Amino acid sequence: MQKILLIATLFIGFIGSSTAAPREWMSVDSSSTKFELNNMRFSNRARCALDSKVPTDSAFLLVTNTDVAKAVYRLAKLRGEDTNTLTKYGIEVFRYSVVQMIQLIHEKIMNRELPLLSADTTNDDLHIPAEYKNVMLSCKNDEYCSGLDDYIAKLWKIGSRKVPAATKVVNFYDVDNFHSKDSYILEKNFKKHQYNTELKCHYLKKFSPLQAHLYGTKPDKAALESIARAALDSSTFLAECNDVEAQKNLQVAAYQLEITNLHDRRWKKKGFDYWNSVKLYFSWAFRNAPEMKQIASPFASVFKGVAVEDAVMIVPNGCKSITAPKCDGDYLAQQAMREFAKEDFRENALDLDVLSSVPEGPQDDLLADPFTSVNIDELDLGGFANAESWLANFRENFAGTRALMKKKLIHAVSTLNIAKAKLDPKKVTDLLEKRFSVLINSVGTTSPELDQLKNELYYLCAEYSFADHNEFSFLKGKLKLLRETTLIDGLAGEISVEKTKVLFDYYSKIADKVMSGCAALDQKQIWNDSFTLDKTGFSTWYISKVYESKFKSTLKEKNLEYLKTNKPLIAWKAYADTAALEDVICTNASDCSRNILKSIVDLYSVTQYAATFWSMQQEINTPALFNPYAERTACKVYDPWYKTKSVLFNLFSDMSQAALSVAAPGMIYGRFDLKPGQVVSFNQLVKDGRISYDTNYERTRVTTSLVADFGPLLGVPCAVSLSRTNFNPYDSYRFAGISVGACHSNEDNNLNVRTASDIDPNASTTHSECIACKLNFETVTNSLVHLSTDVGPTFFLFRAVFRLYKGLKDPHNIPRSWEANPNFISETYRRFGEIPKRCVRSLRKGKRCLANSCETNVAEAITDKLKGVIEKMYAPKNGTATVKLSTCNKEIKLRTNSRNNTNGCRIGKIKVPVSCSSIIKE
Amino acid sequence: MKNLLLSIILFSISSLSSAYTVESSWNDKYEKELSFYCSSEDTMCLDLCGEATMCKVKEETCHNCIGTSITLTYIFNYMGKAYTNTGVETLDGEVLSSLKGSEFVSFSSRSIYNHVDRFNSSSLKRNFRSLCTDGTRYPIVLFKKNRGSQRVADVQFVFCDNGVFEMEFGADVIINMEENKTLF
Repeated sequence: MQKILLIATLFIGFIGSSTAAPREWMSVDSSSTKFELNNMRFSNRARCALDSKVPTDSAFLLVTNTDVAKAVYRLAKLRGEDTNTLTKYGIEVFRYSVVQMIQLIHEKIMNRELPLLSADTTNDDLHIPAEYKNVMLSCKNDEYCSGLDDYIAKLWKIGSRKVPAATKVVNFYDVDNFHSKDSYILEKNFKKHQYNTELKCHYLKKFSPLQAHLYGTKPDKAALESIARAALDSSTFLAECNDVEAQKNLQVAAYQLEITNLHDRRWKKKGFDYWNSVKLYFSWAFRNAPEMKQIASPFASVFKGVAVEDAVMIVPNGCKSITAPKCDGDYLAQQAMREFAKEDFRENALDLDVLSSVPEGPQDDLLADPFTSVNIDELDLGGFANAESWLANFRENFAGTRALMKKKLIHAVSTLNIAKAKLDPKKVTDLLEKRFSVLINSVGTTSPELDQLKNELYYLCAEYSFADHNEFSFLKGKLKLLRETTLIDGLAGEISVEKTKVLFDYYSKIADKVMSGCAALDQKQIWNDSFTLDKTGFSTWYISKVYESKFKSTLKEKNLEYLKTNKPLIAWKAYADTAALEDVICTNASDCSRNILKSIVDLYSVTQYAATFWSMQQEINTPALFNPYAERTACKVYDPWYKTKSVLFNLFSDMSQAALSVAAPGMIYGRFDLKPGQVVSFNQLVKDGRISYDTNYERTRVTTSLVADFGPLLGVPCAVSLSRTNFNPYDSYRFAGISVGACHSNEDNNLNVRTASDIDPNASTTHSECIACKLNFETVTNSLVHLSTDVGPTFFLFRAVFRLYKGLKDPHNIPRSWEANPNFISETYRRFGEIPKRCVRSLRKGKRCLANSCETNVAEAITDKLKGVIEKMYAPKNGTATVKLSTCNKEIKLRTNSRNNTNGCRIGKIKVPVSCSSIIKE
Repeated sequence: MKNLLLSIILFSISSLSSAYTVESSWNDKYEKELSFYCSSEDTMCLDLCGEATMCKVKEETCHNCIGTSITLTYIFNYMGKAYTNTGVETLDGEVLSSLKGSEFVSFSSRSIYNHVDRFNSSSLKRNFRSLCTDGTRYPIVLFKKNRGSQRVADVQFVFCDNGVFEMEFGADVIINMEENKTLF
């Protein structure tokens, strides 16, 4: 009986839920529907990686006021005005100016009053205006480019003329051959709001389910309902961009920008150009546009001086990008900014490469963590009470680290310039000889002073050996790169008398002298058995690199002790009055030599992440903060299509491996310093000893070698497994993850290294080809296991089937995405009081879900033709539908007609009350 | 009122030692300007803008001066150390051409461009004051401005109460090659 009751209850419950949709729409006030948002795109790992190549239509504009606030505060002090009032006012005007200028540029671009400036000037297949191309090519990344400013000034002047847009298009063509077809977002139409592509701006109070795509992947019913509730309570999370009262935090402000009604195909083609144009025009216009006088009044003159690229950042809202990802140092360094957003940044700061004394560089992170997670609140948005405190934490960490880097850079440049000007290398040698002669002449004797000198000499020789030894120094090659870069000259040219090249040559001469001096020493006599090294006297950078910072450096204390009884070798004049250590350049010859080396190491470390901290180009930073796969895809560390292709490919290759594995495979491994596109002789590599062949394959040894070889990103590591067949020992053979094949005989055994993870659909066809050196880090570990000589054909056959099964179920590595429109989700929720299960699927596809096709069609027609959000609706299958829109206080009517035997519902002409005629879209 | 009184006192003190005094300020439109107050025997104001006793020269805000650029940080940290007074008096003609060309940037310890230290901090005051031997309270240092980039370029001269002097950029350091075991 109980059973029957239960079933009956369930049945009633089922009936109840299927008819639970209330007839009346949920009653909400107009503030609940005032924010219209773009689609939210939920992506898994592989789709997120792919999306990085697509331009975003939604972004966060992050504005920092610290510099502006400081300046206006000082201005108030200087003028005797109320500091609080003026500072607050200055911040408000600054934020307003940033948002307004971006809006103005957007309008000008959309109205064809400014042409698009191509993001990729190297692609010969695109039409790029010749002068623009020349200007961009002549602009070095690390130097101010006056040509670009002049060029933009010219375009802006045309764009501001009081003539029709069509005339401007002709003028742009005359000036620099801007084609009307290629150089604008809107094609061949001069109607102002062809797609009504406005730039919506919302002030972000709190991160909420409205940014759910940053927290998770596939949205379920519960997720959709929380999005709906957040959308209805949107005024808690969002505000109008010009709502000054809502913007409480005086340091930072975050805005959500959304471009609406874009033509999809056109946007995919031109989106990156759009963002590139916004960045370039903004940097110029904020300082130079005549419109700024009015927009930034009364602070226009002050704001002209703001380093606006340091104060403003635009980051994509999700996996899509603002800048097309590239595998280069600058792009990678910019992505390193994610670290600063982490809640636990301070706890982990010392372990971060960016703060390391000798950083490995931004590429290191890709290799250390190639399969990092994505869309699981990687930036700890949920860890902060509101968006402002998240941003404040981010900017504080960022600015603090930048200040450290700046200090390092200034100190290094200053020390090297002074040393170069005052101590020639010959003089350094003489002084070193003089300093250590006592030591050399008194071999066999001991005293505390001599022990101190022995230590000092040891530090000098050890530190220089570490950085400059021809065979053992891993650092020497890296430091040499400094000589070739103009990065430091661009950054610190104004404070350096000498160019980096000259400073590096000076260091090299000193290093040669020190190294030859150290080599000539009778080391066993000086550092004999009775000598105990005081490790704490090494420089901090050396302790960090060699002793992993296990103890603190006492170099500073030792120098202070030295200065109690000695004059410093070089000091600022102020030292005569202050006797402060900060006014000492270096205490003695050995300290000066070590300081010169330290300065070079510091310059090297600054260059590694320079692009993270300084915008060297005249454009604002736009890192893909929420997509760590942007750089992983660009650098081919992660191939989003790999899994899809490999699922089928593995089935085939495992079958063939099953046959091949009858012969015990040996192993070749090695590191090729090859760049994509380069062709080198495989035989030559073997001959040069750059490849080792190990028949007694030991897994641990190979693992170590491979891991070590993954160091520099562009030194593509390859492993080759030999099948030892009679016809061609280098015949193609592949296994998952890493594969190298050699060419067939007619290609003369050349290796054609293309990109790291291109996958050929079929590697063992007999046609003549050079197979690329390929790697995919994800499967490296697996591959090593599979290389074991013990595994036989059965294993490979089993793996083939298992892989196919597993591969097709992979939730991360087969690209998947879901689109959800927060306005539609909110609409469904208001219609039913919940998100019905049957609606989850269509809402996840970005579609509407209402009670029936008549309601859906009426909603489509109304929102297509009229402005506003549907607050409630009554739509019978046959009859007069009435709709209440947020923008009109009267009901809007239209006829509906559906035949019983079809799903279709025809709708008639929309009747808009005369008093609401302004809501009709243009 | 206090400021006005201070200005009057400053003006009267400075006019004893130099023919004109210079003041850097921001006007009611929040635009930067250099104000010259000339005594009857000096022609600077007349040469600059045709007025006998007072002249205001507009100073366009330099690009990237409001921020924490490496150059700005260096200027405020190393004023008096790397940027020093040569002691050579600058000719009026040079000062005039620099001011008339409008390609200059002025700094003092009360500059709004200082984001390195507190506004008019004592260490900043000390560094700037070390540029003038006559105890000028607020020496004003003039830098060139790059015509293209509108950013700060080379240091030019310093306005002290007892004259205008050429500045130099370099290492004003003490060297003790002998590594003597004696203190200063």
